[in-house]
Amino acid sequence: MKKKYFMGLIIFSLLLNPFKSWGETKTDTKTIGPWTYQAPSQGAGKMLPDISVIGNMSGAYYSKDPTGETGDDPAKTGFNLTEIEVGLQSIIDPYFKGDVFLAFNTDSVGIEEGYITTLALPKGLQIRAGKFKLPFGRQNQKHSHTWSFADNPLVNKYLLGVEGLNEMGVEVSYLLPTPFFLQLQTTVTNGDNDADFSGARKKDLLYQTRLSTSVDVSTNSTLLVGGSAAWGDNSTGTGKLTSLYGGDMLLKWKPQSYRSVSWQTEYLFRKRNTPLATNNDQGFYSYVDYQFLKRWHAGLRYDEVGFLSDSISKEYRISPMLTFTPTEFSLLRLQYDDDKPTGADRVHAVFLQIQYSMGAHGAHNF
Amino acid sequence: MKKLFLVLLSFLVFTNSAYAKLNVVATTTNLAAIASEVGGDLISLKTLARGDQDPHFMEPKPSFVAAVGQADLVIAVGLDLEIGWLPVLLTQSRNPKIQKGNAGYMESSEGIPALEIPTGGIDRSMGDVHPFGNPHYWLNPNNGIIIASTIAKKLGELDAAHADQYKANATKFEETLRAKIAGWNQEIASLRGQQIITYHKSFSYFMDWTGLKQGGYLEPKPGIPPNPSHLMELIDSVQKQKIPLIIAENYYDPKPGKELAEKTGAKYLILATSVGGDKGINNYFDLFDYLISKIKEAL
Repeated sequence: MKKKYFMGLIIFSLLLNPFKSWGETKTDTKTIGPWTYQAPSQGAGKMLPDISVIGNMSGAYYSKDPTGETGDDPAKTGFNLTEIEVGLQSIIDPYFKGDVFLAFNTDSVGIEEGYITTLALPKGLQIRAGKFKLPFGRQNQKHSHTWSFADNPLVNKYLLGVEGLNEMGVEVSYLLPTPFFLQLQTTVTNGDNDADFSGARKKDLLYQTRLSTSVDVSTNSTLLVGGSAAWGDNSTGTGKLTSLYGGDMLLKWKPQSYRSVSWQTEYLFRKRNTPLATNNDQGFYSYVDYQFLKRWHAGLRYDEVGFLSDSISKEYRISPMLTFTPTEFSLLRLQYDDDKPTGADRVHAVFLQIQYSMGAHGAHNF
Repeated sequence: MKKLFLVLLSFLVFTNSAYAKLNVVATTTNLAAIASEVGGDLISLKTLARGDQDPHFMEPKPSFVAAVGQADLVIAVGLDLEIGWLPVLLTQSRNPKIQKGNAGYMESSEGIPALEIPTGGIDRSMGDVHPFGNPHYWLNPNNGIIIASTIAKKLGELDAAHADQYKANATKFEETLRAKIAGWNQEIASLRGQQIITYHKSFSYFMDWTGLKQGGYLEPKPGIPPNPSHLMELIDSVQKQKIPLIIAENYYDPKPGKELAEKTGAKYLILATSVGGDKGINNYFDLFDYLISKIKEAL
């Protein structure tokens, strides 16, 4: 009887053990002070890359549906699956980190980004190689699910294209050894951007650089200022140059862990040579995002884009939004757009956006 | 050309002077407080999260990137406490020394007997559950001894010339802390078995030490703010079980706790859980003096 009970206990503990040792395939037992403890150590399961899946969809109403490519904006009146993004991220070895983001749309799959980043270069240097969103301004670097609004600012859409500057190439960046943040990023990439850079010749590369700096203005507020420039040939003719210049500013006031106000503004200027003329276009957006409770954000954005060479084509837009984030892993957003293109009908739009995030807990950029 | 040379030279001078002392960055004020006891004048110390901020929800500010970029050692709490912001800082810092797995990165959770390690499967319907256990371990002063010895060992590795000094400092800190703990143990004897409500699971280690009992949380689940139906349940259980005290950490919304206290007649405290989180908490010892005196006053 006793033996049976003993056997039962062994079987029982064997059954329980796989659960207990999940993620702690090796345990250390040590004694320090009054404590004897077992330190869990990470198991082989941790060798898998961090996998995240982020879904982004919007119910939309437009008084007049947009025409042409819409990128990650809600495409039309009705329900829109903007994107399902699958992220695979991992430290590769002591020298590299890898990031792959696949973008699934209803009828296509693409590589949104896929790059390798060095971790072991000395003197504040870092090299990144692959396909990545170029560090041109702030908005261009962001994945659509981290936007503060349901749609892309007009100036980014028109001057950088609906997909933004997202190219294949190499980035060298340098964090200067100053007591405050000062960073220089330079990229050389293929020019595969229909809006600005798609020169036909092999040597038609896209050169881009950004200098950004930041100081903590007070214990609760941070100012970030950046300037970007890009040069490359466009497809209107051989050796026709597009030059892009941008300035951006973010002021963030965060007096408490769950209260904050961000004010972000970005200005872009484009000079585009064509065989017929030189076109100068410019625009900016400015928005305020106010986190008034742990899970609530309210915001207002003003957009303006104008084509200097064509004084008729100007567009203004004003967009209030309200965002509720039940947890860090889900988001609901209500937004209204009042869009006024000169010489065309005023467009009203309402979006109800839903986002969800599964898997690895992604760390957020500032 | 001459100007450029001067600029370059000033950078060289700058980077060289940075090597004179070990540059240590601690993610929280508690770790900084202990590191400063161990490192003394031999290290130059920077802290990321302030004492009145929720260390779960920091942002990788560029000024943090700059600080981590120049660090010889980053001391993190670990157990995924900083998972939402520290990984970005490490990558953006472009500093090979302090990458995870390298000598300049340590988590002070090493050697800490973690509480509340989930067994079996977890998913996010349970709220913000930490798979490696509850990360608020600095609130048991016995863990402070372990943290100090881990930091001393790490500093000794990085700066072998002063290893003995770090060890001696840690031993001195341990002795002071042990004497303090002996005193606190007498003070907290009366707390044993008393039930309290807290906002988040921040006090698990403190309660494990003091013998205070958890009567419930203001959060229905970790990371989820209180809702009316959960508050109704709490009002009921506070009244039925005569729970005398409600505590909210000072970075959370103070209103739900206030409401619960008003409806039940329980006392209500808004408490700092970190060094620097309130006036007079200037070091690790002060933190426990503060918590014990505040709670004893209320009970």
